[in-house]
Amino acid sequence: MPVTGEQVTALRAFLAFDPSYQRLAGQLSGSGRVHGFGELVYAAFVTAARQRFSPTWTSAQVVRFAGRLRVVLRACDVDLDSRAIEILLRQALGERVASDYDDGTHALVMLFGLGELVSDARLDEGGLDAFLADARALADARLAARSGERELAMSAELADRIA
Amino acid sequence: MPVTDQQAAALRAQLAGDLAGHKRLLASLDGAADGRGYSALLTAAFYNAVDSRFTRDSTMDEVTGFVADVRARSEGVRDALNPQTAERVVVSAFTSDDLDDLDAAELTRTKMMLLAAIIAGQHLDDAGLDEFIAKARALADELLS
Repeated sequence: MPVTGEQVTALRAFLAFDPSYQRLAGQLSGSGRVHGFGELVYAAFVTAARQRFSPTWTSAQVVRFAGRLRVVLRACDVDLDSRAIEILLRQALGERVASDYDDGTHALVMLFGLGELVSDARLDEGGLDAFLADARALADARLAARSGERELAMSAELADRIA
Repeated sequence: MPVTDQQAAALRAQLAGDLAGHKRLLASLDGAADGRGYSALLTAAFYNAVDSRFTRDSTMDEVTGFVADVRARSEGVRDALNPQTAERVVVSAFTSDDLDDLDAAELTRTKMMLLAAIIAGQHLDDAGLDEFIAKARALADELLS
């Protein structure tokens, strides 16, 4: 089943700092319509990382971004391991590197990392729509290529984190 | 037993970027007899270096930025230096926080890499490095006495 418009709307609200995101994510989480949302967030994270660090990237850029994100999140009382941020970014950028972090940490890195990447990109309304369209297309392609069991668990985790 | 000339020379070689000399001098040390003195010297040098790089008013954000800058220098440093551990070790120089839960080898490696990074950033000449080692040696002798 592909990503739904409802899921895109919830993620868009989150990225646009629209207060409705909590209600929208809560509705997703409690409705059984969450399948696909995790893949959408992951695809958005990958898309944002590739746009930020393309066409080439260095380890130093990723390490510095992760350190800066850790500082930004500390102001919000969020203690996120820089190394976890780096590993997920490197994976998103195509490096084969294993993560030894749990799904909860992955969810936090993707949400906050995505938020910071999109915030840094300073997208206007049209830019955010285009970004989400790219992410949705990537998510749909990935959903079509994989089974849903793990994706469903990740979707629930992410929706709960946002709500 | 106080820090020996050989122990001081081994650390000085490391901080001067003379890795071959550092390895040669380390290999000539007696593991059992020299280990305590060299460890004290490294700890003292680390404390002095952190004290020269940060103040009690420094923030955790500055520490995080410093650790990120160090780890950004190469993929080897990135992989060898755990950022959370490195932050804790830097902060412990001011707070005396307990680091007993850390693996001893990782703690030594972390101190060594952070120490080397701080000293590299200070661009000391030979006399400056001699002075730094002399001060570290004096503090280490206090720790050992």
